[in-house]
Formats: sequence, structure tokens, C-alpha cells
Amino acid sequence: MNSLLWLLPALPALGFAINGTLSLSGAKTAEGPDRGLSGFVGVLFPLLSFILTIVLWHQLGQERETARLLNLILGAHEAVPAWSQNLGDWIQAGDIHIGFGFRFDQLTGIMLLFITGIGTLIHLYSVGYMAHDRGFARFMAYLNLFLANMVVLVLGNGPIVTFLGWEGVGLCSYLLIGFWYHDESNGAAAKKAFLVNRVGDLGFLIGIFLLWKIIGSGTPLTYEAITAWFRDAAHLAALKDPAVLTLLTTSTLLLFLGCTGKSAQIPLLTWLPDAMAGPTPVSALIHAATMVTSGVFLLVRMSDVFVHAPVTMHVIAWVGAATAAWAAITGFFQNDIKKVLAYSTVSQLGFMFLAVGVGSFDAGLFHVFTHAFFKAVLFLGAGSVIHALSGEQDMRRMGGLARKLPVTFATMFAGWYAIVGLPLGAGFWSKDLILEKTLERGGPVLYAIALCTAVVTAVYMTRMMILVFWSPSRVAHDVEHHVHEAPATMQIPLLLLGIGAWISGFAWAEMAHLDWFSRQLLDVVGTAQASLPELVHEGPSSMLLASVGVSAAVIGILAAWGLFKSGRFRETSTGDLSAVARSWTLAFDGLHTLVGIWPVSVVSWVADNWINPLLMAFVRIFAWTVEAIGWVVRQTQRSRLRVGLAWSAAGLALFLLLLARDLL
Amino acid sequence: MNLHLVLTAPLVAAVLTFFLSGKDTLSTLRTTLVLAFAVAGISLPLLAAGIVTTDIHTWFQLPILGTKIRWGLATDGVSSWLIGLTSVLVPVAIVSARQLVGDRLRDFAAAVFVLQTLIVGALLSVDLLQFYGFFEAMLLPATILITLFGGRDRRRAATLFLVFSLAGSAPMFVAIWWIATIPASTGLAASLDFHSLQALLAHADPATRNLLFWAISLAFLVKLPVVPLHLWQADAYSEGPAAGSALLTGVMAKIGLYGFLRIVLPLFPQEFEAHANVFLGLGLATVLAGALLALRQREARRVLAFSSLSHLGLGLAALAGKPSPEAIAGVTLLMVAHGLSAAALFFLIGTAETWSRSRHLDDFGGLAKTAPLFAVLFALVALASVGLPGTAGFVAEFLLIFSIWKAWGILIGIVAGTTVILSAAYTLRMVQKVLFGEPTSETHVSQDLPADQALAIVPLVVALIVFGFMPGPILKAARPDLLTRLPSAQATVLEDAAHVATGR
Repeated sequence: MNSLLWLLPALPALGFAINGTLSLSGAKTAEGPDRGLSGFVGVLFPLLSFILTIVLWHQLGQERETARLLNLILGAHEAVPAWSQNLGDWIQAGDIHIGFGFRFDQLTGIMLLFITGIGTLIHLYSVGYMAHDRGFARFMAYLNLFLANMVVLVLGNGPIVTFLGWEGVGLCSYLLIGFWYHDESNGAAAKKAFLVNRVGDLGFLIGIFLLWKIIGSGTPLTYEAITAWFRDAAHLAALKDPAVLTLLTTSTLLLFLGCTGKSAQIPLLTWLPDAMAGPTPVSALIHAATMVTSGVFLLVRMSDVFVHAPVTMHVIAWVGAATAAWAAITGFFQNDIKKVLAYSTVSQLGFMFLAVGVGSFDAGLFHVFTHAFFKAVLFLGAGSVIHALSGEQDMRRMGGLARKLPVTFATMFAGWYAIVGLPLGAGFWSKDLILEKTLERGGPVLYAIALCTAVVTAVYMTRMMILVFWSPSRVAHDVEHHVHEAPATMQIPLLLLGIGAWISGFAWAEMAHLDWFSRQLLDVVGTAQASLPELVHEGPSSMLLASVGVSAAVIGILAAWGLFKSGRFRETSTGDLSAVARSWTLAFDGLHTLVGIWPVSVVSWVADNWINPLLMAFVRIFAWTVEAIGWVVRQTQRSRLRVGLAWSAAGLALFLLLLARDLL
Repeated sequence: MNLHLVLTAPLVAAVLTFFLSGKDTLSTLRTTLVLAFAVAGISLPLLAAGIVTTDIHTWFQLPILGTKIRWGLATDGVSSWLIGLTSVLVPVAIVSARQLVGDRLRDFAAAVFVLQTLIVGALLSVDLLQFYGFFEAMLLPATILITLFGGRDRRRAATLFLVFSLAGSAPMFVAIWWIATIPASTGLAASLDFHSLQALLAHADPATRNLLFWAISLAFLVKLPVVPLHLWQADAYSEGPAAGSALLTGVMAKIGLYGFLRIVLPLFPQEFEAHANVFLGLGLATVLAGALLALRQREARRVLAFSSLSHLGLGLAALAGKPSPEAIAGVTLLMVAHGLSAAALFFLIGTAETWSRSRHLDDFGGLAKTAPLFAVLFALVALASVGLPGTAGFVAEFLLIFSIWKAWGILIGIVAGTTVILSAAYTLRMVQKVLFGEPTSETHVSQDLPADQALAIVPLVVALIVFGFMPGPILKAARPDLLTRLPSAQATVLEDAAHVATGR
């Protein structure tokens, strides 16, 4: 089993190679390469990767069970097994020893299950959604490449291998946001995503350097070694030293900066809404279900490190809460259906970081898991709506679609039900878990912010559902009679993900005494979470908190119903965003311009217009000086008898003078 | 391995090229390509050969002073990789130049072969004067390339290039003379080979050493170049023929870094360490200024010129002080990785310029649609140039930023690291202007990269990716003892012993 790990990324990579070749070879033909073939290849390889993941996961579960029993019987504490494969040296120089290898443990397994599973479904959906696009094969190639990189990200055995996937998914995100490259604004959005992410990536790199300094140059840079280091009591004593603690805090903060870039948190969140310029399956796969959650993944992966940096944990919790609240309010202002979902994603990611920040890593990852299903279904549903309306994205020109698009409506309803947190939906389990943990460990203020955010979430999501499905139709007439349900390749993924949105929450339904999910993660985050200070007092019962959570959702839904279902609906939704809404939405863009873009522009303008010419002027002055000296000397060299005689006389005089001085 | 063969092979190729009639471009192309492949075939085995040294004998003796000038060739990993890089880039340059220079391909190829000979000579030299001869002579073919095949402003560009280079290397020549006079005062029988120089300079007084150090460093700082000595570069690279600029930045500029590794660091370790701040400052200023200037350029090749500046500046910053093994490995890999990616970008842009008939970024556009093969290769090389993980550039940048952080702390590390962000900014700006958007009226004509050029570029791209995952061979070439293990060390001692034995 160990030796099969490389196949997980290699399979989609092979899909990329085939589709890339197809795309390139068919580029000059009018029709493009055969869609059937490239669609088949594009879906097949992610599917194979998914099947392999299931096999590996299953085998690993069995081995772990055997090991657990053996440990129980023998009273031993043998390490729980994980698949790992070393593929050789990568970077070896001086003190740096970085190998290239993969590691498949429970955390990686869970991530891979939904990455390849949901990934395959979205590939299938794309076959229908992009069917009429000229760049179909290129699209499938990019999606395959993305999947390969995402697999490397979660499968890497150390932070630098993760970084390979981390930047790789960033590249694919860039390529896919700018997929319709003929429009330069798409290119600008793509570039923005890449650059903002690179700011975070620099933080990631330097953070790793600092971490490397803490654990000592002898320790290999693998998660296994890092985790072992931070679980060693002798090393933890060293962390009491304020200097080391400062180093650890800086390191973890920088790593977290990397996470804010990839996962669109304050301050690096501006790129995600712009990223909606890409085709909708991209938004579902990359900018909702998988890539943007890699920040949370990294924190969970390094939970043993972060848990010892209390300052960083506080920062993470507050950044998460603030992002969740800010983005939820922004989502309320949007009229573009994809923008609503984009801000919703940012907001939900905020919840995940909040959970991680208060020390509940497993709850954070659980929300990653359930969110992947319900947000994917919401995005794909939105894609289906856009598809049905011939590209219309403005919710003010939608409405009354529930009856015309029943499958889309039913599945989006499942997603909506899950995200607002109504009983027994996926969000009910995962979000309430986060709220509960926040109250227990983060205190009442963070809890209040999170609860209010939950209300706003229900408001803007219900608003979206009303505007799209439950209000009178405002669809343009020429579009109206084209409205049709999507093809089967789009409906099947929608239905499967809709079911996922219903049932994924039961992976960890504490009130129903289902805790499969948290048991899986016990070996990964158990030690970290146990090392947090014990709670002194018991919070209110789970049942009470769940009721509060559900009430928040109901209040939000009713508020939205009152606001938009009645006649006042038109006033709030016609015209562009109000000035307040605009400045709220663009607050962080303004900040980036102020601290990033302007300074760079000004300095580069000065360098271009002043420093270079100034240096050139020095060169000129130098040249003129030389020329001037040359002119003076030239004057002495004129072939005129008088001048020549005068010079000779002067020279003779000088010579005689010197001679005379010597003689005397 | 016969190093003299490696050195003379490109010279023979140059001479043979002169004898071609040159009237038929296609047959010139074929013949020169065969020659270039033959040269590469002779040079590339060096990569696996490790340390190779020829006999080193006294070339001539300076009258009166008695200082011996040696002749000998030696290579270790670093020189071998740069020679390998050169021999790979030359055939690509010839293929790429066909469309640029038309029926003057023969002259172009001859100049390129001469340039190659001199570069290889400089890389193999074991004696300071021998090195200087090759180093200085390089200016000749380089200037010829610019003036014969350049654009409208080529005379000005060539003059600027010549004046800067000569002003930079003149002090080095003076320094060599000065060093040659040292034995007269110390009574040591001296020679100018690197190994003897090390011992010789140890006896010089600190003030003299300091002066010599600056005089020699200046030449390399101009060649690299660092800000503020960079004024010649953008003009030379944008006015010269693109395929020639590719060689200038791909290999010739690397001699600047190589000079620090091979000559300045071993001969003047204390001085280099004492002025660590200066070199760090120069390096970082170059990184930042280069990147910021690249952001504002309107011509593709000027973007590439400043990008080269910025990337190589990082190498200098990493070496500053007492370079760590990571820094030396990083610089070596940087020279190869940047040589491949920067040259490939110049080759590709040169071809795109023949389509748009303009050098301005705004006149490109939509090439992703009209020239998909070009677009794929251009995008891949651009990504390698911004150091995307999985390409050699990443490993190099990783090691360089790491070593800067390790030596200077987190703040300087972050300053150096901004290159990661800025290089992405200017490179993506260029990529977008060239590949994306709607085709302009000029690029609308549907033509893609000619098959021969695509075939020539693909190996460069493959190498960038292979070294991205397996940089081992290059990193190992840059062994930590590189600085103390000067070429010819052993051979010189042997020869001196032989002289004693024969009573000469």
C-alpha cells in the first residue's frame, strides 16, 4: 500500500498530460479536440484517484484496528500506522535536508476522500457545463492539474512538499480564474489572486524557516518529526523561554499569514470575490470546496505547533470571527449570485478559523468537511441557474425558478438548509459544534459575534433563495423561454452532492452520539487539544446551545422573509450597490491599495523617472568632463610653429631649472 | 577529458563557420547546428566528470619582475555546469536567430561561437591574467552581436555597453599589474595562478589588499550588473538581437557571479566579509530596484533585462559575508536555472517580436489564441522564472532566501523575500500583455512557433522541471569546500616540484 501513494497525484496528473496534449494538438482546428474523449479522460483519472483513496483508507482503517487491538492486548503503545512513501532527496545543501515523500494518515485520508470524491463529481458536472466552450479540453486539463496539486498539498510528508502543492493549486486557480483570457478583466482578477496569495506564501516560507530554527537543524522537515518534537516534554520545557516563545509566535503568525492568503481571511481576502470571474465549476471546486480550505488543513496538520503559541491562537480566533462577520454582512449587499456565495465562503471559512483558534481543531475540520458538500452544491446549483438563464448572474433578473428548475431548486434547497443551520442539516451539526466550542473556550464575546453572524448568514442565504426561486419572475423575456433544466451530467453531481449536504453532518452528530469524525482525527489533533488548559466550568448544555443556534437561523430566515418576500423587495434590490455597501465591500481592497499597490507604484515611478535618469546624468557629466579635458589637451597639440616653439622653450627652461637645482 | 578540446571546439566551429558561403540560410543553419551539437557533445560529458585539470605550465614570465603567468585549464562542478549551460544555449540561439538575422546567419553563428570560446576559456582559466584575457575579449563578440544585428539604437547601446564594461574591468587590469609587482618587494617567487595568488596575497598589506579587492570586484559588479552600474544592460538587451541577448543574460552575466565565487571569495575572504553590509546592500538594492523598474517597462525585453538584474542580485546578496553552503549551492543552481529560463524567455520574445513587428508590450496580445504552442512554452518558462515550486528556480530561490534569512535575520529575509511577490507581479504583467487579451491587428495573423524552434526550447523547459525535482547533481557540484578547493592547487605544486627536480 505504501508504494501506491504516488499514484494518487500521478493519476490526475496523467489526465492533465493527456488533456493538455489533446488541447494543444487540436488548437488549430475549428472545432477543437474531441469533447467525448477529453471529457472521459478528465473524469476517469480523478475517479481512479478517488477509488484508490477509498482502498487506501479502508486498508488503513483495518491496520489501525489491528494495531489498536494488539496494543490493547499487549498493553503496548505502538505507534498507530500510517502509509508513507519516500521518493528520494529533493533539496540537499548545507544544513537543509528535504526529502520528497508522501504520508497518508487519517487527516490526509479525510481530506482526500472529499477532495477526490467531490472533485470527480465537479469534473463530471463540468463536462455538461463547459460542453459548448471552445476551450473544453484545456479546461479539463487545468482541472486535472488542480486536482493533482491539491492531492500533493494534503499528501505531502512535510511543509515544503505541501508548499509545492500549495503554490501549484495557486497556479491552477490563476489559470482557471483567467480561463476566458480574451477579457482582460478576467486576467486582472487572476493576477490579483496569484499576487495576494504570494504575499501569504512568503509568510509561509519564512514561517517554516523560523520553525526550522526552533526544532533545530538536525530535525528533518517532515510533519512526523515536527509533531514528535512538539510532543516531547523535554522540548516543551524549552518553549518556556520567552525568546523561543517569541520565535514560535512569529513563526506561527507568519504561517497563519500564508493561511489567510490561501483561505481568504483578513487581511488577504480580497482576491476571492474577484475570483468568481472563473467558470462556475471552478468556483465550486477550487474557491469553495477544496483549495480555500487548505489554510484550515495546514493549521490542523500543525496543531501540535500552533497550540503552544497562545498569542497566535487568539489572533486566529479573532481573525476568523471578524472575517466571518464582515463577509456575512458583505454577502447581504451583493446582487450577483456568485458573489453572494463567494462572500458566504469567506464567512464560513471564518467560522472554521474561529474553531481552530479556540483550540477545537477537529470541529474546524469537520466544518471544512460539511462545507465542502453544501457549498459545492450551492455553487453548482448557481451554475445550473446561470446555465439555464444563458449566463445571467444578477439575482435582480431572476425569480420564480423553483418550478422551472425543480432539480436545481431541490438540491440548492438542501444546501441552503444545511448552511443556515436548521435541525439535522449538515451545518446544524458542524456550525453548532463550533458555536458550542467557541462559548466553552473562546468566551462570550466571540460566541456573540459568531451567533450574530449565524443570523446574518440565514438572512443573506434566504435572500438569495427568495430572489432566485421564491419571488415573482423578473427574467428577461427573450431568456425566459430558453429556461431549461441542466443535462444529466450536471444533474447527477447536483443530486449526489445534495444528498451529501444532508447526510455529511451525521459523521459527527454529538447529540445523536455519532462521533466517527472526531475519532478519526484523534491521533492527529488529540494531543494538541489535550494540552490546552482544562476548562474550569461547564458551559450550558448542548441541547440549550443547539436551540439557540436554531433560533438564530429561524430569526434570520424570518427577517429575510419579511424584508424581501413582501412588496418592499423592489426598493432594496434595484439600482447598484449603495455607497455604504460599496465602501463596506471594498474596504480591504482600499487597504491593499493603500499599503501595497500605492507604495510600490510610487517607488517604482520614482526609480524609473528619477533614479535612472539621475545615474545617466552622472555618466554624462563624466563623459563631458573627459571630453573637456580632451579638448584642453588637444589645444596643446596643434601643429603650429609658434605654439610648438613656445612649448619647447618652456620645456627646456623647466629642464634647465631642475638641472640647476640639482647642481646647486 | 581533454579540456583543451573543450576550449578549442567552439573556436574550430567559429573558424569553420567563417568558411561557409552563407548565401543559403537553410544550409548555413544546418551546418552551424551540426557544429553546435558537436561542441555540445564534447562539452556535456564534463557534467559527469567532476574535477578535471590539465597540466599547468608556465606560459610566459614577466620581464624584470619575474612573475610567472601560467597556462592551464581546470574545471569543477560549477564551471562544468556553466559550460554545459552555454553549450546547450548556443544551438538554441542559432535556431532562434534564423528569423531575426535572415541571410546573415553565418556571421551571427560565427560571433556566437567566438563568444562561446571566450566564455568557456574564462570558466576554465586557472590564472588571473589568463582569466582576464578571456573575460575582456568577451566584449568583442558581444559588441559585434549588438552592433551588427541590433535594432535602431544599436550604436548607442553598444557604446554604453563597451564603456561600462571597460570602465569596470580597467581597474582589474591595473590590479593584476599591481599584484605582479608584489614579489619584487617580498622576495617570493610568484605566479599569477589562483593557488599561488592566495598565498601571495596573504603577504600583502591590508590597505593594498583592500584596493585590489575593490578593483577586481568592480569588474564583476558591472558584469552582473548591480544597481547603480546597470545602465548599460537594458539598452544592450533590448537593442541587441534577442537571440544574442539570451546568451548575454543566460551566460555572460553569470560570469559576474562566477567571478565572485571563483576569484573574489577565495582570494579576498576577509575583505569580502568585512564589506558584507555593502554587498548585501548592493544585492538587495539590485533585487528591489530591478523588480520595481521591471514593473514599469513598456518593452518586453526591457522587462526581461530588469528581471535578470533582480534575480542575479539575489545571488549576490546571498553570497555577502561568509557565504553558507546553502548560499553557494543556491547561487550555483540560480546560475543554471536563470540561465535556462531567462535565455528561453529572450528566445521566445524574439520570435514574438517578429510577428508583432514591435517591441512594445501593448502591441502583443492574444497570442494564447493565435499561437498556442508558443503560449504554452512562454507561460511555462515564465513560471519557472518566478520560481514556482516544481521548477529549478524555486529550489534556487528557496536556498538563497533561506541563506539570507539565516545570515541576516528575519527582517532582511523578508526584504529579500519580496522578490517572490514582485517577480510574480512583473512577470504576470508581461505574460498577460503578451498572451492574453484580444489579438492585435499584427498578432492576429495566425502563426505559431516554428517546429525547429519549439524543438529547441522544449529541452530547456524539460531541464527546468527536471532540476526542479532533482536539483541534486547541481547542488552537489557546489560542494561547501568549493572556495578552498581552487583549481590547479595540486597540479601547481607538482609542477613546482618538477621544476626544482630538473633544476630550472
